[in-house]
Amino acid sequence: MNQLDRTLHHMADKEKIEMPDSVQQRIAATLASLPRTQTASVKRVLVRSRLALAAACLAVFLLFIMPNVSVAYAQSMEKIPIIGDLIRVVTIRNYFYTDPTHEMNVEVPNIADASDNSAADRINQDVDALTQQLVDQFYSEMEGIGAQGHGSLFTDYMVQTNTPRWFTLKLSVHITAGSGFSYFKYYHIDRTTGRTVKLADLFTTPDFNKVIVENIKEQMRQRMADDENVSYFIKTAGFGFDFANVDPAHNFYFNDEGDLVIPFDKYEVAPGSMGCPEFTIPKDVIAPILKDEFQNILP
Amino acid sequence: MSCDEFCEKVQLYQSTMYALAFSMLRNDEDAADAISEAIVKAYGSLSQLKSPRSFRAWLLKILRNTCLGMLRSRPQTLALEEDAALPEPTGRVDLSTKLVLREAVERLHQPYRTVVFLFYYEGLSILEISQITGSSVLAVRKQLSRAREMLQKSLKKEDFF
Repeated sequence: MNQLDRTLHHMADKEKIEMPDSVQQRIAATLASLPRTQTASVKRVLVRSRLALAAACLAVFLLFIMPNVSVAYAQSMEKIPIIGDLIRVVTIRNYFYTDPTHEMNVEVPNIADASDNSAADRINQDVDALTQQLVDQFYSEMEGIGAQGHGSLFTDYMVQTNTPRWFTLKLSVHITAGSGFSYFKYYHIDRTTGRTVKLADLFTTPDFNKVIVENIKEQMRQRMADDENVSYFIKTAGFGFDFANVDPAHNFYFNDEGDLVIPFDKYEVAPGSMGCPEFTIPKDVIAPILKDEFQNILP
Repeated sequence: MSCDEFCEKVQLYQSTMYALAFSMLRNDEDAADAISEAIVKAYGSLSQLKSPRSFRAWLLKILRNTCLGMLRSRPQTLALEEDAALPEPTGRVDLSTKLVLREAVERLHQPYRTVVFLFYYEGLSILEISQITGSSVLAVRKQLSRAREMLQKSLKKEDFF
């Protein structure tokens, strides 16, 4: 080895490459999402204690051994539901950027063990495409305005419902560029059929939206009557038009009581000061038009 | 190889994976994407691993191919072996120390940049680098030799030599 070679080795040793926490966390999340299933013959040999030990080792590794575990990683750990009959969701990617005028933190969820062309796979692809589009748009706008403007992009997700019968993933998007704007996307899997579900799929009639909209307007009038600070876009003496219709693919979810909830994005049905309103539709209102298989989604 | 053994080995080589991915893709987000994808591909192809002793080279080869795939799908068309007018690496700035060699290495064109990262920073042998990159041992030696000349010129300009 000549002198130049020795010098380069020495310099490289001093300038060790530090892997960022974000990359390290991403690697750990990917490893945690790998399927543990083995071949059928090996499965018969495995004993419970070995599985429990492997799971415990992995848990210890992820929780204690990993250095600099960030809040974001800890939160993504909490989103992994109990394994067994339930669906696992992991953070498969995290885009992070910060400078004095722009900030981005995008968490990309991934439904684990999704087989090709399954409902879970299609949801993963949709989420990938959406988050990539948001990130590209963020960088593009940042390059356009530079330090002359401020902007931020945050996405987060939560598993809204996860039972052997029903799965709902909620993706939240918050964008600021001057003013703030938030919206959500809900993804559903009917686990008895293995299919994704849209709002219109729940009902026996295409006129379901009229029933739901009338109930929502009734709730809006009541809330406005109860509190003068509350305001919605419905036709009243002082306001000239009703909010837009609830379309066949409108966001929805089932709450813990099994009631249908219709959420709206910021500015969709009310001024920005009202945030993102939600309306629970009573069971007796929709029971006559709800398909039999969706009458009792949650216990 | 069990899943736990696979995970342990990946953790062992993760810094080398990062060095390789970053040297090719030039930003942390893409490097993280490539590493994740390579891990999943490698896990799915474990049956093709001929010997546990060649795990590192095998894993890094999968990663390199994944990075090449990402580079090919990028909108800007850059020649993969001789890329000119490279964008500045994004995502990380070291404010505490002047990374003289690192800056000089990041100005190198491919394949010299990757070969230098793997040889000097990660301590891989020429044989391992040839297995990962698919180049012959002789080609890797020549690439290293050429890289040293370019680094020497670059570092002389910085008054380091």
